[in-house]
Amino acid sequence: MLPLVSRANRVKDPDEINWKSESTVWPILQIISYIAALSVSFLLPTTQNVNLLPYRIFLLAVIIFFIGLFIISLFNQKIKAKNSHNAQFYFVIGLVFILWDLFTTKFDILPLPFFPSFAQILQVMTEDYITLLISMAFSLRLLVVGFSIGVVVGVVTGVLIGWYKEWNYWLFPIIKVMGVIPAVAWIPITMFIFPSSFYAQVFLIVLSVWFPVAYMTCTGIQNIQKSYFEAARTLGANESFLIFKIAIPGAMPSIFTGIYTATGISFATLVVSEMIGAKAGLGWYINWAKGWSNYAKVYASIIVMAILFSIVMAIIFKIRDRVLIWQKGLLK
Amino acid sequence: MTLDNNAGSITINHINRTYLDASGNDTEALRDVSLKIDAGEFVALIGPSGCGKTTLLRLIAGLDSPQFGEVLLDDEVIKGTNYQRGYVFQQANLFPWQTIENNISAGLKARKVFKEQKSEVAHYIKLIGLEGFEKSYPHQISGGMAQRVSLVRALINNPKVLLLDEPLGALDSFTRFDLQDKLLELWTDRGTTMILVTHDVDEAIYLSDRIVIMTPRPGKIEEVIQVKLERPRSRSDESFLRLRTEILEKLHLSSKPKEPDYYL
Repeated sequence: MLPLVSRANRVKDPDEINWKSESTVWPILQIISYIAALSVSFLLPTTQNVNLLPYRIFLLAVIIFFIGLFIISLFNQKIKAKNSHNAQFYFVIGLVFILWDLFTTKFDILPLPFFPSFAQILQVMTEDYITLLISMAFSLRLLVVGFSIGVVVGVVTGVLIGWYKEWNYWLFPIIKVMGVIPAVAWIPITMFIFPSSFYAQVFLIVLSVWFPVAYMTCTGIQNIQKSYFEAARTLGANESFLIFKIAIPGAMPSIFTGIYTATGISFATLVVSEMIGAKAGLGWYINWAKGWSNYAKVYASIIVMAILFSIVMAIIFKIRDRVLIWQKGLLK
Repeated sequence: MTLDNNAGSITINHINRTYLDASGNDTEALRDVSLKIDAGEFVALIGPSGCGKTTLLRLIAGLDSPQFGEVLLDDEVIKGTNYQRGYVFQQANLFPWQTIENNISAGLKARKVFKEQKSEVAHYIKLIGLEGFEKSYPHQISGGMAQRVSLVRALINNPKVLLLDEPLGALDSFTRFDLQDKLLELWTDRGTTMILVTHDVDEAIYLSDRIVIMTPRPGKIEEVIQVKLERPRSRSDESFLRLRTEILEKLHLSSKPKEPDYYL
């Protein structure tokens, strides 16, 4: 019998995730591009009136982070592969920072106040972080409350119309028509129906989440192979077993497609509703900053939004991967 | 584990079942089918596709109902499904969102006896040699393993009758032989009435007490053959082969259009 080929000697399987060929040059170039950005900031004369300290600290932190990553990757193959794969991308981002800096603080080419430097955005963020954090908290509260209620109501409605013919007969046409109306179109009406703008906003988010989730739950249930229900029935299942152990778990992939769609729509509804009726939240912050022509603040809140919504999305994907663990390896 | 010998008999009385096909025409899946299957008997239904053998099995399971006639389990008319008539599908048909363990215990949970009979699950996993796969999902195991899981998923309910709808048809021959022996072993141990739909003449002879030959358009019973071979049976035995030739000839004849009695 042939001896087992040692790990070091056998041909490596191609890495599907970190597929770029491994190199040590790019991780070093990645560090250099941020050092260059920092040097540009220090060495060239500044023409715009801006506090450069936060920007420089930011670049320094990035440099330290990538150096740390480089050192760790000497000992950890996994991190090395990942860092090497991503290095080209972050190298180019470093160059973008240099260009952005040159076009703004250094040569003052881009018109103010519409296109501020990154240094100015960071300056605004550090100066106004309390208002930004409060705005973020308000948006997050609205999103969590509205989204949770919307998903629950959506799944319940979806199960009812997906399972019971009578419910389907009465509700499905309504869902189909209401579903194409953007929730924000109801803003003028919600303003006089609800006692406070918070309830009105929650309602709008519930509405925007409800329809995609209900619709996808319903079609998910209707597309389950009949044979699963038959198998369950021959095993002695009653109706509640069929609904809770077959219909709902079987529709889960579809339900999560609905939730994923709903997430995007709910972000839009959130921002628009905050811009129009609210006195707090990131959407309100953007509108308020625009009123003062402080576009640096507009960009700042957009960055905060990007971070917040990405985290929300990541959490939803994590939950989905947990719930749909049985699909792992089943689909490509 | 105690097993009360509670096999059931099936009586089929003058059953008719007609379906509408896609173009709106009547297709007679079964015409005036009558059959009596004794408790503890192993019966195979065999015939070309379209002869209504799966329809017949589904009527016994209660997954479908006859338009005329009735099916009885012991002395009771069958209405709807019941765990006492277990069903094993052609594709293993395991619930993909549940682990192997949970697929096997599904019947106990559906009947709300899981708490009392929890220990059965481990017993059945051992019985089919799937220790270590309890937490796997159906797509992670082979077709033969899945069909074994499907078999015990039905058996854990201790049914009076086990209906087998070509459960081994999609498997390779080694796995099929292996599972045929497993099936016989389970039948001998428990005495459950077994009704097997199959395309495979060898399988029918190897396993069953009686073979019911069916013919298509309209689906009806052509002949019932007693298999009088000693058990355990050998597939290469002379009497086995003779019976095989006999059945094949009958199947071949029945699938050809009947010749007229005389020519002009």
